[in-house]
Amino acid sequence: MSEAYFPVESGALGPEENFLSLDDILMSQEKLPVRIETAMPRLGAFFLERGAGAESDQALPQVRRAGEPAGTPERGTAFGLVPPPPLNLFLKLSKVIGFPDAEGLGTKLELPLWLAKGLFDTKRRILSVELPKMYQEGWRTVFSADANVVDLHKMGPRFYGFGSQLLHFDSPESTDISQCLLQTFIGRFRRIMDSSQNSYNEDTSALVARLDETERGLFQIGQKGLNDFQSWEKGQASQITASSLVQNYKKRKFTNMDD
Amino acid sequence: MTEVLDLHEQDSDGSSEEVVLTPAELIERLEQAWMNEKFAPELLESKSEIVECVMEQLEHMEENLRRAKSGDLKVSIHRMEMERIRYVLSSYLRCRLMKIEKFFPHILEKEKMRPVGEPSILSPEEFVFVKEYTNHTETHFKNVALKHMPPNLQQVDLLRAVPKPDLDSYVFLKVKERQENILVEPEADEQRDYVIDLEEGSQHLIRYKTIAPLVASGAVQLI
Repeated sequence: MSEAYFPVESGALGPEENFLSLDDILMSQEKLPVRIETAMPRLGAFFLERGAGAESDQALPQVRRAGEPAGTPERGTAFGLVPPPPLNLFLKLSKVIGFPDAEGLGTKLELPLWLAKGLFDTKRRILSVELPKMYQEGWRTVFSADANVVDLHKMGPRFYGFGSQLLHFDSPESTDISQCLLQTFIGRFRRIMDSSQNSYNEDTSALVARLDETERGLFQIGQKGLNDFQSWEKGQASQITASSLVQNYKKRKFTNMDD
Repeated sequence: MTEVLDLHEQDSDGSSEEVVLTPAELIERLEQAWMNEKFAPELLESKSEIVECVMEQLEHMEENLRRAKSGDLKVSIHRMEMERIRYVLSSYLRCRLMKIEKFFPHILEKEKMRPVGEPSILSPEEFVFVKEYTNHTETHFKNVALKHMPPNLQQVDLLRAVPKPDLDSYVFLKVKERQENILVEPEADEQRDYVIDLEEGSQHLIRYKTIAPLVASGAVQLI
């Protein structure tokens, strides 16, 4: 409560990610292997970067850049049946070139999570999602054996958030995935809490290296609590210090004076 | 607060009922409101009458202290007490402002949808604050990003963009009045809903949603 700035926290572990959360934006950028079920003519070079060649169609709105003639208007979008696209969707689509090419059924691609979520629909069968390796059977048994040993940072730095959002694509393994996420977290939690509460003024990089982003957040909260308590014990709690938002301004002022 | 300083021993609620409170009870109510506000995930009802009474009391104390002879030990003790009360009051108000800033579109929407008879969750000053904050944020979004977007993407629905208060978060509570038949819905699908009774003086850890009306009525205290 004494913070100057409250960033919007990640909602990834809940039912839906938060629109304004930077953590969620970074998380939904991670790739998901996907199979295309319907033909998408004329979707062009957008998919060229991500897998086999594709053909473009009205499935994605095209961006008119300055100087281009206002050519064929888009004939409605696949997103028409889905709630309005978030702001970051537009920023990514600004790279669409629109270039006729052929795409057939069954092409395998890697799409970011936000795109896969937007295109996924059980009724229209545009995409079918394959689970990434670390959420599949093999790794699940590894996690159930001993969760503490696994390097979750390498497994995708946002293991829990991404996994929770994966449950949106109704897959027969969804209950197993959710159980696995929960059990992994329970197994690792004790060590995180212990190490965060007991390393004061030390280099914690060895402890933090194998944790994923959610766990690192927890670790930092623990460290902050410990540091606050120690400074309260030393009597530094009542000293007024410059706010973190303003400290940078001060530094600039000094360099200006030196010039 | 002692008799030595000859404080007003009665205090009345500004609202319709004339409830007579001793200063000690008033401070206790302030502390309860403060703790409830700190631990609840959403903005609770505004207790502006308690705030006003406490500010009056602080003014009286300040006046009395000025009249008393200086250098007396009692003066410094009373000053300390005044500082403590002032801290609790400002912490309470700060907590409310933080929640307002965090959930501003939902609070504004709730205020619009409120039926006329119900008490408001915002004091008049807080209501002005919410409106100004909403306007500033919308202007900021527009100037920084939205006006550079193509025309069909220039709206951001703040009600959907800003996260809602999480009413499912768990809170610790202490029961002040005995309650019967509270319906508990467990998270996992396998367990069915069950009904519990809350004994007086017991402490529980439960989802906020289940006991939200009890907090509002004062039957339980969040700890």
